[in-house]
Amino acid sequence: MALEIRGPRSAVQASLATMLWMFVCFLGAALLIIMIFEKLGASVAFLSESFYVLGAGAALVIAFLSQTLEQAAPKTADLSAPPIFRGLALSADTISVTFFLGVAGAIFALGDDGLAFVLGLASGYLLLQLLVVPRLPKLGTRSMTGIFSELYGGWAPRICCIVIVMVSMAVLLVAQLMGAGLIGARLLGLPFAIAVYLSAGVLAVCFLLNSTAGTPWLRSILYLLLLAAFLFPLVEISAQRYGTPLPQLAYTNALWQVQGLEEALLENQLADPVTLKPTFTSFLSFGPLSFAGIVLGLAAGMASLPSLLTGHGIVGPVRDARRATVWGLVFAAVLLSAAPIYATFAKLELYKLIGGGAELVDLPSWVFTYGKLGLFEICGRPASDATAIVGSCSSINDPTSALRLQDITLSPDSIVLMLPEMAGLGHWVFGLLATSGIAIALATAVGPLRTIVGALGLGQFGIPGNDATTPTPTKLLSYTAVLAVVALAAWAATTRPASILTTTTWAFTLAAAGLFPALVAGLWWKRASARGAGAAMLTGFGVCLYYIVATHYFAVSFVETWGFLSNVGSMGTESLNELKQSWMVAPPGPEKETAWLALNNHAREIANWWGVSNLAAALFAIPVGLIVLVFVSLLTSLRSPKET
Amino acid sequence: MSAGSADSDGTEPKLGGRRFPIFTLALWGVLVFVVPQFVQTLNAFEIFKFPLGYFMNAVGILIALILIAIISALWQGRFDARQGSGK
Repeated sequence: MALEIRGPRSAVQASLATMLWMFVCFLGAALLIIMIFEKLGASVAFLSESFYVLGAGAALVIAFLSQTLEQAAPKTADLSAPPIFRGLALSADTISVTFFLGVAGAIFALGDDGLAFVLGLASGYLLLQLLVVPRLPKLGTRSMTGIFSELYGGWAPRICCIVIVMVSMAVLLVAQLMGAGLIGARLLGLPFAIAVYLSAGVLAVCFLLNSTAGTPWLRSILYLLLLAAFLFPLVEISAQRYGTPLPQLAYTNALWQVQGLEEALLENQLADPVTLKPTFTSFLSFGPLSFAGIVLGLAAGMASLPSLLTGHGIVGPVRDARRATVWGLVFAAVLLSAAPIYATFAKLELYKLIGGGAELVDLPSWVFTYGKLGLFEICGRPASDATAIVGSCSSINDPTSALRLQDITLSPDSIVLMLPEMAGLGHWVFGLLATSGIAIALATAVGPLRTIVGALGLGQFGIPGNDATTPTPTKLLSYTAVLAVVALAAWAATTRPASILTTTTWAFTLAAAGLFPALVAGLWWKRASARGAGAAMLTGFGVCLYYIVATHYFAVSFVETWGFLSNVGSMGTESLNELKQSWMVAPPGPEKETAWLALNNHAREIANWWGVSNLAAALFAIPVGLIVLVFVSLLTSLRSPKET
Repeated sequence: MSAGSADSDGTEPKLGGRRFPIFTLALWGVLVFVVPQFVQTLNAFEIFKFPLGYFMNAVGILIALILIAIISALWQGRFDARQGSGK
């Protein structure tokens, strides 16, 4: 048996090595050509479009090569990769474009509280290694419904699993498309919605080329791309400003500089204490409970993430899967530990600009670049040009001609893209970042899409291209379903339900709430029953979904129902009533819309149970799921016979 | 029935007999839930020119998680080798 595997594996590895080298050389050469074009004076628009084409092309090439490889050696593509490559692939798939763009932005916007996302994701790897990896590979199945069938039997866990997988992965897909759309809009100068649809189209092609998890060999390139793109601007800034190529060394200096600038901005009234969140002060944006809840949701979500459990990290011998998760943690930690440096450098650039007394009529061009995309607002309006800014800042209650922190509203998702331009680095540094971002967004979005299609039961028909024996009507059905899922997700992404990081955290939290208790109990607790698991999945997921949807989309009703549990108490409810009164008496038209916006925003701020943010919904949902699972399992049958 | 359960005739359960990693999980819990609650207090101290609390959240806990993961993987590997169930 070993000899049978060794033969094709060697052949595969030889062709893989050639493919990898060719691919890396192609990417390097393409970037080099773009750099030469830049030196020759090519237009910025042309360069930016080239970056998009290159990134999308890289994702398509990865999909095509994966397909070619799997057709050549269907069974060995996954297993032949050593744990270090699987760790690289695991890390790239988990961090993806969503955390790549989101985490640094969160630390920039929330200060110390933003580190909850770093801790949550990193600790998820350990949770995965401790609770899932020792036993899951022994089940020998790579579908979520298969996992729950093996663990419990019965229809209830399977049905619940399908619903949870579809909802959580759809939310993750939306976040991925938002990331691709954001980068696409910046590169192509198109409206966000069109950039999302365009990226969704490329994603659909990637998926139709290859709908499997792909081989870790190729996917490990994504991590290397991500690492190069993420670290290069930091290295360049460190070398230019601090005389050391090690951003970790420059980081301490930058941190203290930021702290000094924060004090100076407050003294000179260029920032107010409400807007400015000091870097070293914790729990300004989230309370301690929310911080812990975000960590719990991300960690448990990571340990039960369907696109991950059905991917290539957790397969084969337990020993290899365990090593892959350790490597995954190491690689993720390298990237995640760079996120605070990103945020610090970005803060430093912005605070220097404000502290230097920048006038509104004389702002750098990057402000307008992002202003035109609606990602940078000054005095409540997009900073599309100097005239618009001066106009809007002269009409506010406290008019100003200077740039002040409290007048700026900046999309945290765009911080990573902004930094090279803020720091005045070459356009190709930004290009490397954006190219990698778009490639990883499209390549990793295949994961949630594959999981959704699998949950719909279409995976077994062999999504087009994978199975020549599949009848044409079935193929057509598969094509239509894939396109419908992508189109729906793209539409949802164009509505921008929240920031990219928030949407991703919701996806992880929904997976954690629905799947984590039942998965862990099934793996470790002998008396966990199918009914208990079904009830736990239903209640945990239900509580989580209710808390997220109700506090975000129906905040006013939520406060009216649960106001007595909110951390703001009667004061908050009273002001809500006043705002509601104003909205009700406002005449139809813009005035009513403004009143509704004020009411809804206030309601979202106070819509909570005991001050817990909806990002931390896992704090309620996971304990509820666990309690229900234990209670129902003990109450019904200690060991119900396995149904098939 | 959970697949982790032993068969009624007492044969080796399908998912293996490894014990629940309670100690490592407790350590994990302390690191990611308890330490961040004391950031402000820890910030009174400095490490490598960083305030300790900030350093722990940004880097320190990540390093600790990696160390735990490595030690735990080594220990689990040794346990599997003894049990002959690492496949």
